[in-house]
Amino acid sequence: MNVNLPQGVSRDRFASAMHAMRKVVGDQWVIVYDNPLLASYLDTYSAAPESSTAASAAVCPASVEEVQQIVTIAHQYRIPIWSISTGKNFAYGGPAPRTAGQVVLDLRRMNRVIEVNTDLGYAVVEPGVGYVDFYNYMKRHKLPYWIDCAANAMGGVMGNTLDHGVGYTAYGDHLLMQCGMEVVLADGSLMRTGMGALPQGSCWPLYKYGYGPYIDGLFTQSNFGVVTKIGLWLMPEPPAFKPFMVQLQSEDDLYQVTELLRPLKINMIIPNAAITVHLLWEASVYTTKHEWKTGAGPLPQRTLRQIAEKFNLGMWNFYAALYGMPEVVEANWQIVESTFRSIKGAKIYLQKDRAGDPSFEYRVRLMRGEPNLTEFSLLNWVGGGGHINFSPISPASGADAVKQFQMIRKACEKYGFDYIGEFVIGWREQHHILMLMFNRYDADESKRAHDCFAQLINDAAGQGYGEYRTNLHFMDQIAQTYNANDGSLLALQRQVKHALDPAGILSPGKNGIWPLGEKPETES
Amino acid sequence: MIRAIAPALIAVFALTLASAALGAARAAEMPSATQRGEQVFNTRCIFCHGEGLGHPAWQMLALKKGKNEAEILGRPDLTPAYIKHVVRNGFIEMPPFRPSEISNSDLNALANYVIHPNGSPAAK
Repeated sequence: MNVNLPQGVSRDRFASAMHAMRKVVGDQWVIVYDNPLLASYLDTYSAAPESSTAASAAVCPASVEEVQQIVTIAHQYRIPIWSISTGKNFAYGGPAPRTAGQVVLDLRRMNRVIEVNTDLGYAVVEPGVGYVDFYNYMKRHKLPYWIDCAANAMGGVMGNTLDHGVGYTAYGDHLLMQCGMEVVLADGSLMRTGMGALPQGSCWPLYKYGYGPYIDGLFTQSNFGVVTKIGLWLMPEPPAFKPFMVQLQSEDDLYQVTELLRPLKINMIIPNAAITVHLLWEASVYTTKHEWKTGAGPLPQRTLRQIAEKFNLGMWNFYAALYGMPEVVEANWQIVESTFRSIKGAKIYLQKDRAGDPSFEYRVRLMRGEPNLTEFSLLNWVGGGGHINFSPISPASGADAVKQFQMIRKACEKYGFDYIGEFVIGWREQHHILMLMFNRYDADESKRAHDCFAQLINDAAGQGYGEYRTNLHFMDQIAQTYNANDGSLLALQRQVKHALDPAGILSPGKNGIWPLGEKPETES
Repeated sequence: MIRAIAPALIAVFALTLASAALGAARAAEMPSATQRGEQVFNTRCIFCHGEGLGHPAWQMLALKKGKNEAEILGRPDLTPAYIKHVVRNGFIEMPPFRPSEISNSDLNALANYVIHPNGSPAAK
C-alpha cells in the first residue's frame, strides 16, 4: 500500500496520534489512508495529479471542545492538520491539503446556525454551515433577511469569508460584513476577537474593533489558528429589487462600460458586486465547445459572434441590481439606464425581458442571495472537469480592464485555451476572474493549463497586478510576487506564524506561509 | 373491586392511548427513508441534477445520453452501489461528497430515493 504519511512523521507516531484522536471524535470520524472514504478528500479539479495533495487522514470534530482536543493532540505528536470548513472551495483545492500527507481537519459537522438576531441583523455561524443550509434556515424561520452566497451553492459561509470570497448582493464583500471571531489557537486554547473578549456583553457581532489591535484579518487566508465561529451582518430584505443586464456588442466596449460604472460604484448608486462577463462564460449554460469546434485551440472570433447571435448574448454582458425603497430604486434607475444607454449598440434588459432565460435567471438569483450551481455549466464547456481560477486585482478602470483582458487572452491562446473570464467590480477595484477550463483526463492539456497559470502569475506581477486568492499549487509562487522591500510582508507573516504556532502544525504552507525552517516548494 | 380496578384500567388505557398518540406524532415527525432521501437530494444534488438547462449535470447527461435519460431520478439502469460509489468518489465533472457532508445512512436513503423517487417497499 502506498502510504502517504505527513512529512517527517513515523508510522508509529502517526498511529498513536490517530488513536488519540479517535478517542475524542469516535472511530468513524477518523478516516485514515487505508479507508476508501478518504478518496472523498481528493482535489478532483486541479491541473496537478490528485496524489500531490492526497491527505493521510481526515478528522471530523463536532464541537469546539473536540477541535481544541484535536489541536492539542496534533501539537503533542507534531502532526500537520489542514483546516477545511465545507471543503467545496473548488478551483482552489477543494477539501485537499496543501501537500500530500497532511491530515485534514474537517469542520463540516460543526454546522449550527447559532444565532440570528432579527433586530440587529446579524448571525453567528459555525464553520460547516453551507450556503444552502443557511438559506434554508432563513426560509424555514421566515426571517426578513437575505444571505449573500458565492456562485457555488455547495460552498460555505465561513470558508468563503475567510478566503476573502465575494458574493453578488450589496453585502457581497464577505469579509467586510464579518464581525467577531472565535479561534482555537495552536496550543488548543480558545480566543475571541474584538468585543468577544469581554467575559460578558452582546456587542461581539456588532462592533468589529473592540479594544487594541484589530486582529480578525490575521485569521483569514492564513494558518495562525482554527476559526470555529464568526459573526456576520445580514442584509435586510429590500422592498424593491431591480436586477438588469446590459448586453454589449463589441469586446472593445469593455473600456467604456468600466469607466461608466466606476462613479456609479464609488457613489453607491449601484451597491452590489457588479459584473462584466465575457460571452463564453454565459454561453456555457446553453452549449459546449464541441458543438462549435473539434480539435484543439481557442474558438475564432467569427465563431464567438455566431454564438452571441444564437443565444442572444453580448461579447460582454454586464449585470447589476438596485435595492431599497421603490422610489429610490426608480430614481437611481433613471441614472443607471441613461448612463449605459450611452454605449453604442448596448441593449438593456430587465427581468421581464428575459423570463425563463437560465443564464440571466441564475445571475438574478445570485444577486438576491439564492444559492444555485448554474455557473458549474462551465465544467461542461470542454468536459473533463478541470478548472483553476486566475484572479488578479486591478483598479476599477477601463484601461486596466483592457490591459488585463489582452494579457490574459494572449496567454490563453498561446497555451490553446479559450478566454473565459469576468470582472467583478467591488467598490474601487475589480477582481478579474479567468476560469481556465481543461480536461483533467488529458495529461498534456492539464500540463498546459498549469503552465499557462504559472506564466500568468509572472505576467501579471510584471504589470503590477497580484492575485487575491489561489489554488493550492500556486500559493508559493503568488506569495513570492508580493515581495516589495525584500519580501518583508511574507517575512512578517512567517514571524507571526512562528510566534503563534511554533511547532508549525496548523495548515502548513497556506498562502505561502510555511513554518520557520520549512521551505516553500518551487513548482513552476 | 371491579369499581376500584376500573379507574386504574381506564387510566392505564388512557396512558397507553396517549403514548400511542405521542409515538404516532413522533413517527410523523420522523421522515421515512424516502423522505430523508428526498431531503438529501434537494439539499445536495438538485442544483446540478435538477431538470433543464441551468443544471449542469442534467445538461451534460442530456448531451451524452439524450434528454430522456438526463434526469437521474427513477433511472432504471442505476444501482444503489453505483450511486454510492459515485457520491463518495466523484465522477468526471462531479465532485466527491464526504461522510461529514452526507452520512452513510443518508447516503443509503439518497441512493434508494434516486432509484425509487416515489417510494419502494424497502423504503416505506
